[in-house]
Amino acid sequence: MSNKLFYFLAVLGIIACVALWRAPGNKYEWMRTDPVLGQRAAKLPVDQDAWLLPTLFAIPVVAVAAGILALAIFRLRGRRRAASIGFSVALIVAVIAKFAVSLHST
Amino acid sequence: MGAGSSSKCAQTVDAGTSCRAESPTPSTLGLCTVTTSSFPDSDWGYSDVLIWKVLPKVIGGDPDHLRNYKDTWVRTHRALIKSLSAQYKLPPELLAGVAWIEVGGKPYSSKLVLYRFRQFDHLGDPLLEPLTITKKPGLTSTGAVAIQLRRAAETMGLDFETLSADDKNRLLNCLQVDENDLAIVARYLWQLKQIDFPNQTKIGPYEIRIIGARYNRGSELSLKAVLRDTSYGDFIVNRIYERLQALLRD
Repeated sequence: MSNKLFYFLAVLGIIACVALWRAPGNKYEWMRTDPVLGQRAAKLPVDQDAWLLPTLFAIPVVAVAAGILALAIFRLRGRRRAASIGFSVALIVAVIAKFAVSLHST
Repeated sequence: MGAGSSSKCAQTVDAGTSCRAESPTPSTLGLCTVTTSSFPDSDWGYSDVLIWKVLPKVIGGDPDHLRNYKDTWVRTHRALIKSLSAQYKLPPELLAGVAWIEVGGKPYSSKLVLYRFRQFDHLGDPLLEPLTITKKPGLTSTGAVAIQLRRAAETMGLDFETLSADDKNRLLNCLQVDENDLAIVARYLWQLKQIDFPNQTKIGPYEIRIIGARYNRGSELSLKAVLRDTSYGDFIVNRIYERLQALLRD
């Protein structure tokens, strides 16, 4: 049961993480990425709240990371526990990295 | 922009931002005249962000979704954009350009959540202000054509910080109505124009660059500082000008 729960949370975590990384940070990011008008080297205008959307998308990732961590601490043993803790940390690192990228994209 | 210079500034409705931002005279929310928008519902929500950015094409994603939304928004609102531009003697491409850039992107409801969060965080101001973790609620941009609440208040000669809780909520709701939002943004653009080009009637690409950059970066900056980064105005002039003209055509 614990194993099934771990795999379920792991898949959920990966999906949430992919969504987080695809979500725009700076609201003017489309000036670079739009298929028609975007220019890769475009200087982006200031977005004071560039962290807002990543924050909303980060909530499920952090929730899954917390769930996996709780599972590791209370239900898992041995290697699987270590792997779960590692995966949980990896999700948090992915969130931090997304913020670092989003907030410095000008 | 010293506080002492306010006596030199006429506190009339159309005095520039540089004057009225100093010591606004309290009054009602004069530009909030419409309570229910006559435009069809044009919300940009989380599902739009998912379609535009998150989902791959094979399961319904569409990288063109945002651009199409922006085009549709400007086209739907073109009559109002043109009439407001004429009222303030601004080129319609300026207001349309700012609208095109600002609409969509972040879900509109997320800004309201952010405002409430900041409002809660700042409940204990000024006593507990050092303990706050967010910016002041007045710095929240809201409305389809996003404008900071404090700027919206300034356009009406008001200081957001001194508004009553009721008036703050009224202003927040006012900006959710496209007619009010566009009217406020149009006046704000006019006020920004007055900073560097007071009473100038011919507004060309150079002026659009400066006014656009000020819209994004603030009215307090010197012209020299604004000229260091005009990417916002440049985008209007260099990338979407012809597109806007086509969208504004009847």
